[in-house]
Parts: sequence; C-alpha cells; structure tokens
Amino acid sequence: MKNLLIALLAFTLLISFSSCKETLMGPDELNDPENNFELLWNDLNNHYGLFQARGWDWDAVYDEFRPQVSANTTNEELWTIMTNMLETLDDSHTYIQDRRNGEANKRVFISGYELNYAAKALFDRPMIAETYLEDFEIHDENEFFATGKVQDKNIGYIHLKGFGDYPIDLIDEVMVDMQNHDAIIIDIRNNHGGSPAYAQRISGKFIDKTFTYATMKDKNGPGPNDFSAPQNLVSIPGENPFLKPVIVLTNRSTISAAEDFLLMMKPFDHVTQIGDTTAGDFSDTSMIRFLPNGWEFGYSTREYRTPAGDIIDGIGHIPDVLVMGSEGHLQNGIDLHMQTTIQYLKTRYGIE
Amino acid sequence: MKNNIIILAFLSFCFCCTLSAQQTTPIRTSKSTLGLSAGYNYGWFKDTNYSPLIYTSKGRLFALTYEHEGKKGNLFQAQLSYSGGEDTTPFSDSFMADFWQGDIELAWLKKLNVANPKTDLYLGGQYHFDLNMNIFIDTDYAFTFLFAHRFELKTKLNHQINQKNSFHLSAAIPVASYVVRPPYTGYDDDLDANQDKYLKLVSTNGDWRTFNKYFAIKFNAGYNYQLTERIGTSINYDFNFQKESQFKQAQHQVKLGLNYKF
Repeated sequence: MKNLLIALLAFTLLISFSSCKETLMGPDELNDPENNFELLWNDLNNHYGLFQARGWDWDAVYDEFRPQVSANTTNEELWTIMTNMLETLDDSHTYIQDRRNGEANKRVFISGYELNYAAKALFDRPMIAETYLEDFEIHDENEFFATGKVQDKNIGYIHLKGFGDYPIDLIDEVMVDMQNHDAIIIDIRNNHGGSPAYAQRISGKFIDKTFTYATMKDKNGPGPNDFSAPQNLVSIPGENPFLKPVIVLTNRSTISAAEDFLLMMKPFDHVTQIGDTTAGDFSDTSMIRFLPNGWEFGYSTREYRTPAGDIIDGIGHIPDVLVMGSEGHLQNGIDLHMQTTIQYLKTRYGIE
Repeated sequence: MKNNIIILAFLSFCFCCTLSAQQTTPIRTSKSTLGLSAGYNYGWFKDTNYSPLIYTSKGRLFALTYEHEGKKGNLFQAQLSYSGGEDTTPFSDSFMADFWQGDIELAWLKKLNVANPKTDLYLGGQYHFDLNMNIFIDTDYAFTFLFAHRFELKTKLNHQINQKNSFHLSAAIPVASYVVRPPYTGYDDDLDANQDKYLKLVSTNGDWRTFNKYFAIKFNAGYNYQLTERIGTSINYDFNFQKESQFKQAQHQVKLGLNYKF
C-alpha cells in the first residue's frame, strides 16, 4: 500500500511537471517581426498618455509603418522601422533599447532626442568652471550637483545635472553659504530630469509662496479618454528662501523634472530663464516593457497641464532671454549663457 | 551556500527518516501538530501589466504549519509559507526577474460523518493571504504584484492507512477575494508614496472579486509517516493556480517536512 501511494504521488508529479504549462498558461508570444511590431504598437496604443495632448494620430502611424514589416523582416530592418515609428512621437520619455549583449554594448534609441544630443554637446562644465568660476566643487559621486562662485563677483553658481541620486540635504548645506550672494545662477542645462520631489525641494529654497504649478493625470485604461482625475501638483516654499535675483540657465537638453523645476520657479519675478527653449517633455516614463525579440521599451503615461489648462508637452519653456551657444563659441572657450547672464545681472540688477 | 547546506541536510534527514525509520512505539492521539518543511517551487507566471511573455519561476520554499483538533474533531489549521527565486524566459537572459511569494492561511474545518473509521472528511472556510511580487533584476523600474485576501471554501480528507502511515488530500477555492494589483500603467504616485508602508500597500487600492474576475485553486496531497509517538515526517505536493484578467500563475510545490505532535 505504501509503495502504491508513493508511486501514485510520483506519477502525479511527473505528469503535472511535464505537460501542463501550455494547458494552464496558454501559448507564449511568437518571436517574429510582425508580432514584435504588433506588441509594440498595441502597448503604446493602450497606454501612451500624450496622443491627444500632442495631437498624434497613432492609427495613421500604424498604417504607415505596419506594411513595412513582414515575416522576412530582419532584426536590423525592424529596429529601423520601430525607431522611425517612435520618432514620430517626438518624446524623450519614449525609447527602445537592446541590451541582449550586455549593458556596455546596449543600443538605445530615444524619440525626439536629436536636438537634445546637439545641445548636450555644446555644454562643457569643466570649461565653465575654469573660465568663469572660482571655488568650484562637485558634491556627489555621480557629479550631478556642483557649485561655485562667479570669478570676482558675489554671484553663486549651482549646476544640477539631474534631480535625484544625491543627498537632497545638499541643497540645505549649499544655501547656507550662498545666502549672502547678490544673485544665484542655477544651471540646469544637460539636466535629464529625475524626481519631481527633488525639484520641489530645491525650488523651495527660492520661492516664498505655495501654489499649484501643474496638474497631472495618469492613463488608467485603454480608451483614448481613459485618464485618472487631474491631480494638483503643488510647490511649497522652504525655510529662509533666497529671494534675490535668480537666473535659471536652460538648453534643449533641459528635460522632464528639470522642466517641472521651471514650472515651480518661473512664476516669480526674481527668477529669469536664460538660454534655449527646453525639451518639452513633462510626462513620466512607464515601467520598462518587454518584447519577445529581447528588446525593451518605455513611453510617456502621463499628461501634464499648466494650472491654466495649457499643454506644454512638445513646446517646453520658452526663455525670457534667448541664448543659443554654438560650436564656435565652445571652441573659443566661451559659454554664451554665462556671458549673457553676467551681463544681464549687471544691466538689469546692477550686480557687478 | 551555508543556507543551501542547512536546507540540504534538513531535506536529507526528512527523506531518510521517511524511507527507513522503523518505530514500534504505539501512536498516541495528540491534539496539536506543528510542522516545518522545505522544498522546491516550480511554475509559471504571466502578467500583461508587466510583460506579454510567460516566465518560468523556480525557487526555494519554506513552510511552517500548525494544526489543532478540537473536542468534536473539528480542525483549526494555520500555515505560513515563503518562496523566493528567479523568473526566467527563453526570449532573453536579460529579462530575468526576482520573485517573492508568501502565504498566510488560517482555516477552520468541520468534521463530517463518514462511514469509514479510517477516513476523516472535513469541510470549512479559510482566510488565505497570497502575496506575489516580481521585480525585474536589472533595474527596479519594472515590477508587478498581486496581493489577494482570499476567503476560501476548503475541504480536506485524511486517511489513516495504519498506525504510522497516513495520507491527506485538500483543496481550497476562494469564494470572494480582495485583490490588489498595480495601477493600469504599472506605477503611480500613490504607489510611490506608500512603497514603504507594506500593510497599506497590500490592503488598499484593491477591489472585491468573485469567480468571474478572479479564480484560484490550491490543491494539496500529502503523505505522513509517524516516526515516534510525537515526531513524524511528511512529503507534500501543492498545486496553486490563480488567474485574473491580466495575471495568471501556476505552481507546483514539493516539500519535505518534520512534524511534532503535542
């Protein structure tokens, strides 16, 4: 009897282990070009949060790109088709990447990023530090948070390469020393964004009023109008805010949470934006998504609006003083943003 | 490595005891049993909220059980179990994820009248908290979860083959469940704000469901061998299945254990 029971149990286990995956779970996805394309297009169709805000016709995009994919499409061809399709969204929160050969050899495509790359290349922080600053200091291992003082002037300088990945208390320490400056330059060029909470905390050091800086709603269903109720995003002042002139430097590679930071700062009269128009990517990136061919992708899932109800995704922050550097300036060791700012502070505020 | 050695030693001990121990001490009728078991979890999961692909889940499993027989022969059972390991998919090695699974089960089963004196049949209810978390290994920027507070109908059959040998079968299905899932886009500010508040996370933003929107079944088959008056060994096979609109999971679990009667 005992042997019979053990045999019965073993038999049950064997049957269960070997045969029921397909029955229980259904068939797995096919790894062919057409299914990979369909999965990508459909995932965005169901989850992407900016079709209406940006005025994109995703069905028309399907009609344009789907016929380019067949069962014989190679992976290289599929990469080109998919990246061209995602480029139509002009949205740097939308990307596709192939990391099958490791992180070091990964291939990444970010939608609408060409101008951002160009802007990035025109920013040279070591040159700025050497040419325009004294007491330059990088405060964190990621080199995201750096400070200095404009040479021979009582003007502070803060460069934020991102909003996150450094201790948020750094801003408190830095502002203790900077309170006595006549003005502060906050440089958020080449700032890829990060956490709006960081942006909120840092902006709190420069504002003296609580206000709603934007509304945000999440996609919450597959339909084009399926969004959560709008949520007010509120900016809150910190203790002893710095209310003397503040210049925020931007370029096309000022993105996402860095643009939130501007939403929090720009309503104040003592704040001036100098530089180029920002990227216009206010939304947030989805969780990483997966395709059967081993590629990963992500996209915007949120819609941001100004308190007045305006969409600024795709538009960005238009500067108060437009400055666009060039390769020529860079080669001659000139940072046009810094030069213009120093001159602006002198003429507008008499700060020398 | 040290953990693996301990587990291996524990499993070997249980297995050897099950196969070879001989004990002639008469079996005493005890009212409570405490059990500790370890084993292996093998199964699959698919969650379209996370990925369109089917993942294979493999990992270790530990369980602590308690059973008390009341005056009228009714049973109170409690089980706490944990399983953790890796999710893999044949589509890409870089898609590997970690999984954690935990279960808390509290059951009360009424003894039914059965003609066979060697067989006991029970029917009752069970509260079953089922926790499933899957996190993409390369970055925590992809994860999914299913937390289910299941109110289940449960039945159990015990059959005493002789003084030392017995087997049991049980099955449970939820009649009503409170199921907590990630938001539609996988992540939102509410989740962000509550990510360290575990109790709140597993008990809010869910919805009540019954068979049509959430189906689950847990089947158990086990064999017990009584070594001494108080100590016994067991081998158990569990089959778990749960399904809702986006999430589907099937698991086979085999575990070996030691039981102590008191």
